[in-house]
This record gives sequence, C-alpha cells and structure tokens, in this order.
Amino acid sequence: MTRQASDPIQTLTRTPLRTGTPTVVNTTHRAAVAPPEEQVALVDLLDRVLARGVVVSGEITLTVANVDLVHLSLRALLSAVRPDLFTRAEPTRAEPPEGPPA
Amino acid sequence: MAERHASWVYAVVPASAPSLPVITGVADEPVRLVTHGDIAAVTGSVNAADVDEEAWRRRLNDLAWLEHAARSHHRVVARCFETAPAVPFRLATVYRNDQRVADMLAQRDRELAQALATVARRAEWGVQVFRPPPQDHHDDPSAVDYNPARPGTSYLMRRRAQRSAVEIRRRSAAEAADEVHAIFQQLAVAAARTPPTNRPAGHPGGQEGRMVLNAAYLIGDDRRDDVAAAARELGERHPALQLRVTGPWPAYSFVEIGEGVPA
Repeated sequence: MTRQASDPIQTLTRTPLRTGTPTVVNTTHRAAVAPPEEQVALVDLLDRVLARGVVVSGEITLTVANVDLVHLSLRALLSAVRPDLFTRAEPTRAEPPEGPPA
Repeated sequence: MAERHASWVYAVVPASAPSLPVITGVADEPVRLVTHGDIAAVTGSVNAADVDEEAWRRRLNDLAWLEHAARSHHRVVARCFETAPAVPFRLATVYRNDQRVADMLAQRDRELAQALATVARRAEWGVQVFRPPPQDHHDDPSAVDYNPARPGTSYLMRRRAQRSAVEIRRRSAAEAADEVHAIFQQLAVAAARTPPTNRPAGHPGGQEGRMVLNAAYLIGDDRRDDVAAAARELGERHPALQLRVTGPWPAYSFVEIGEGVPA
C-alpha cells in the first residue's frame, strides 16, 4: 500500500514526509517535537543494514567474520552500532563504566 | 575482457507488487525483479570485482564508500517498502548470477512468503531513550557542605552523595526505559530490544547522554497516530530524558530467517 501524505507523522513534524525516509521525533523537555533530521543518521542506518536484515547464504555476505578486517577508526563507529559484533576483538574506546549494570 | 557481473539482492517483495520503483542501486545500476512463483528478489547487477572478498577488505575501511553503499542499499529497500511489503536483505548479500538468486528464492520460498506476510502493512519504529550526562547540582559533589575541620568526613560524604545521586538517576532512568518499552510493546505486534550502545558524541546520531533503551517495534500502519501520541506523551512524562523515535523503517529487525545472525 502507498503511504499517504496525510500520514500522522507529517502533522507531528510539520514538514513534508519524504517517503521512505524515516523521520526522527526527538523529545526533550525543551521541545516536545523537533524537526526531522536532514537524512537518516548513519549509525541508525548501519545498525539496520549491517546487523539486521535477512541473511541467506549469498556468496559474499558481510558478516561478523569480515568485521575483523575493519580498521579501528571504523570499528569505533560500528561498535557504536552493535558492540556484540566485536566480542572477539579488543575493547574499543567507549565511555568508562559508570557503575554496575542494573 | 568483458566485465563480469554479480547479482546484489536488496529485498524480497511479492511478485504481484504493483510496479518496481524506477531507481538505481549501489552501483548506479537499474534494479530488476528475479521472480520465483509468488515472490521476487529486487536485484541489481554489480561488477563482480567490486564485491569480491579482496574488494570488501579494502572498502570496509572506507567509510565514505560504506556510507554510500548503506544509503544506496537502504534507498532501494525503502522505495520497495513504500509501495509493497518488503523483506530487507542485509547489506552485501551478493550472488554469482540471477540463477543463484532464483535458486535461493526456490529454497526459501515458504520462509520468505511468511516473512512478507509478517511485514505487510506494518513498519518498524526505532525507539531510544537517553538520560542526560550529570550536570545539575545534585550530581555535583561540591553541593555537600565542606567542613574544613573534618576534611576526611567531608570527602566521604561528598562521595556518598555523588554515588547515591548517580544510583538514583540510573535506577529511575532504567524504570522509565522499561515503561517506554512496555507502552510501545502494547502498540506492536513484535518487539526487539537490544543492548544499549553508547554512540560516540559527534558521530551522526551520536548523543551526549547515556542510552538506556535501544529497541525496535513492528507496528501496524493503522497505529501510526498512536506511535506519535505515545512519543509525545512519554516525552512529557519524562522531561529529564531524551526519547528518540525514528521511523517508519522497512522491517529490518523483524525478518529473522535463513542463517540468522552468526554468533
């Protein structure tokens, strides 16, 4: 089905919905609804296209096995996407732990 | 020597899908349908040399290229999702040729048809909750009166006050995260809660605060008003937290078939 221009998200953000482009609704105590981001945030996108989605044996599928090849700079970004991709690698730079987990 | 091509799969859609969007893929190639029975793979031809393992080795380290590939891949998936149910494939699922794609469809047709039924007329919404970094005076150790006569006691009191403030914030944020999750779960037909990550500040989408909820929900298109209302209401109820709702996404997080995520 076609997603209509009258979709609720449009009134929420007060800007035209660019079809297929996820809109971001930011809520803080200062502004209940912030304008949508210009484009989809890369971390949100990589989280989905690299770590989720169907995996059906292609000849080349980007999987955890390949991630070892990634340099540290990119690893910082990808570990922000999915830390569990790096369980076999050394810890990447992250915020220091603040206390024991709940 | 002629360029050898490989078949990059973006998504699976019903073969009866109205029409394939006029759009190009990761290699600026036009996309086409490879059909088997009732299902079809949205496929593009890419230069095989660009997607072999050696090329991946190079390109995985090239953030600009990875971003281009991710955005191109998503653009095709999203365009399919606008007009028909779409089962997104993971980035870089590439077959030797269209025949191999058709073989995959034949092997997996029941699972893929089931996945199409699951995602039809539904969309994925991402919900993240962040709590702000310490900044108010409750977190400031100097807020505890300093007694110059008993510096050691003052220090311990400051430490204790600091710890309990952190603990209270952490616990109330965790409770709020559970509440947000429960409310979106009520709207959803499926939910996927993943461990919070701490995205480095400065990265696109990076947040200054600490993530306490990282979840995705598969929600019927008829409940979009409810999604917006829930986001607004929860934002008002928890003014100290930042609630980030993204969507509608193609259902990347709700198509667990095939090999799944390798451990």
